[in-house]
Amino acid sequence: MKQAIIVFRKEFSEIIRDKRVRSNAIIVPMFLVFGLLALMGMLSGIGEKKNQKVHVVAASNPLVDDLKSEGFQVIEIASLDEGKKLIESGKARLVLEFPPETATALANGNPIQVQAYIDPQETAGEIALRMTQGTLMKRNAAVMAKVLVDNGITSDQIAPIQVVENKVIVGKEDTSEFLLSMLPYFIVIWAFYGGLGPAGDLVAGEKEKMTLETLLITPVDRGQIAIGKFLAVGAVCLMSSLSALMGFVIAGLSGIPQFKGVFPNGLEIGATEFVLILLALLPTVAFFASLLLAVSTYAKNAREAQSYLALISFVVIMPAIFGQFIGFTDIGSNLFVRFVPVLNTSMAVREALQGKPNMLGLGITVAVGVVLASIGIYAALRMFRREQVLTRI
Amino acid sequence: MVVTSNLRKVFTDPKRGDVKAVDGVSFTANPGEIFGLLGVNGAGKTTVLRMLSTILQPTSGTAQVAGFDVQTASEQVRANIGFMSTSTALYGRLTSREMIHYFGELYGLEPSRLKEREDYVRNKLDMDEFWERPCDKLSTGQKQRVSIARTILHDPPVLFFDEPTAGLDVVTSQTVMGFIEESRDNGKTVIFSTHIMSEVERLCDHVVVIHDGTIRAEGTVPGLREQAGEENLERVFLKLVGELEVSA
Repeated sequence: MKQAIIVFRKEFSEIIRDKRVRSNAIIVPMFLVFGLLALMGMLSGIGEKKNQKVHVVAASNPLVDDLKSEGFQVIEIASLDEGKKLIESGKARLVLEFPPETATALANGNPIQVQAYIDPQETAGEIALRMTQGTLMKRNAAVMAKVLVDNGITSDQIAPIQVVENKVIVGKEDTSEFLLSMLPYFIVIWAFYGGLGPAGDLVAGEKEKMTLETLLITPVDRGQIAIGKFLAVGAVCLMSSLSALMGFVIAGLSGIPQFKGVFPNGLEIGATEFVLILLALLPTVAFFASLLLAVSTYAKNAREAQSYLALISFVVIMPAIFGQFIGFTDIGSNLFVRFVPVLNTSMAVREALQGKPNMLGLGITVAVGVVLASIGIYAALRMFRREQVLTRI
Repeated sequence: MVVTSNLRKVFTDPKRGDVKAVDGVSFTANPGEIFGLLGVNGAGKTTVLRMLSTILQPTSGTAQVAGFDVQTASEQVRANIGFMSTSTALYGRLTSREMIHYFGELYGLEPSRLKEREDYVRNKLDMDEFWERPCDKLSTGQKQRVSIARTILHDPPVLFFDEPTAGLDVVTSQTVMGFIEESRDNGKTVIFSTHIMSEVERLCDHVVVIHDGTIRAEGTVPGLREQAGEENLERVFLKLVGELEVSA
């Protein structure tokens, strides 16, 4: 094993010196996740009233007060023409024009018509309109309730059936669904993609650069060389995956308001979650590393290796994508899912984040990963020991 | 010492079927001599050297290198050889020092011995200027010196040189050849594979002419001249491999 460690040390330091690896496998996952979270946080703020600008043609009445009190950004403008120009120039989403007698009509219980102007091709205008309607219509409900009460009818009588939501908390309360669907996906995917480049260089690239023969004429057992290379690929796969996780952690700890929509309860990854994630991840990383190494050993050159690995990446990405949506189905409760590589890891990571780890599921996930990694390592070692590793060029 | 007996290597090619790369090669190379393998490209020289360095398994026949059988004691064989060729390249991102140190560790040299040998090759091959420079930033001559340093670092008794001057300029070639002569003078067994006649005339104490995987002739350079009845070594070679009429 000492020789495998020597090979690992050299391979790892050489990989890390490669700018492409440093950026693609270590820096990019973190920044990509951080950027994606910022974007999602920004999008989640669209539905908040405080972010809705409503332009109102010179008016002061209780309905405008309602909008203001509910947090809308009410901007007063001089005329409807000005409002329309603002819509045309994209500076206004929604312009409201109240009839001059609004206050009196409301006091007397008379009907009024509020004119709303939007650009129908702009979704933001539609959203602002729907939210504004929601606020203004509350007055209708209050008027209706008053009329009913005046006529001796209670609200229970007109709405006899009510559904009351009661939460049964399993694990953590209100873990962000976005976090649960995206984080496992990124962690698992980057465990594969991070190792893609380095693996191609490690054996197939060495054949091409003619350094493999230099290595094979040393007295070191080929198995030890292969294990050293496997450890180096595995280390990069793990670093890449943890880099994606780090992107989440930095975003969660940053305290930047943009991330509030994504982390409603702050960062939810503690030491326990981290250990469980790592436990689920390590066998998968080992499997990916062995698979990448086996393909690189088989390929004639780095280019051929990359072609094979691009195809394999589709096989890896499919279960990972499905893992994103597994929370919307009942499939996750079936035991067979635990035997599907990649998908089972996504599940285990998801459950760890939810704070309700399924220890049987985690055990199966680890066992499946170990078996697959063992098969992959065996295949890579077998290929590495054959003389074709050098002559198949 | 290197002894081969009836060494054969057959590759199975999906299109061409069985291809005999080496067919019944037997020779003995002694310490303190440069033993030349002379042949055209594809004659089987590299395959012979790869079998002797245990990278390839012989299909049949036997070979001993430094007293160890290539099939049953492959690790000991590799521990006792230095191999240099155009296909034993350097790691571009490692510095010369790191490259030498890495191979020293792979050859199992103890830290103190490794330090001693690193100092030796660094001074011997005048590597101070580029000791800390990445290998892919070195000139061809500097790369060749690092390769030589890697080859002799563990002080092996047997050295294989497979067309070591291919692609080198005249000055660098002279450095390599000077080093090969020095190795012979230090009592090493040197096997030198080439297709360049002038190198054979200058370096080789004993030569085998190899063609289509078989040995066509063996002896000293003067002995081969006498055998072929020709003075010019190129004509000697062509006559021995049966190509003289075509070329003439």
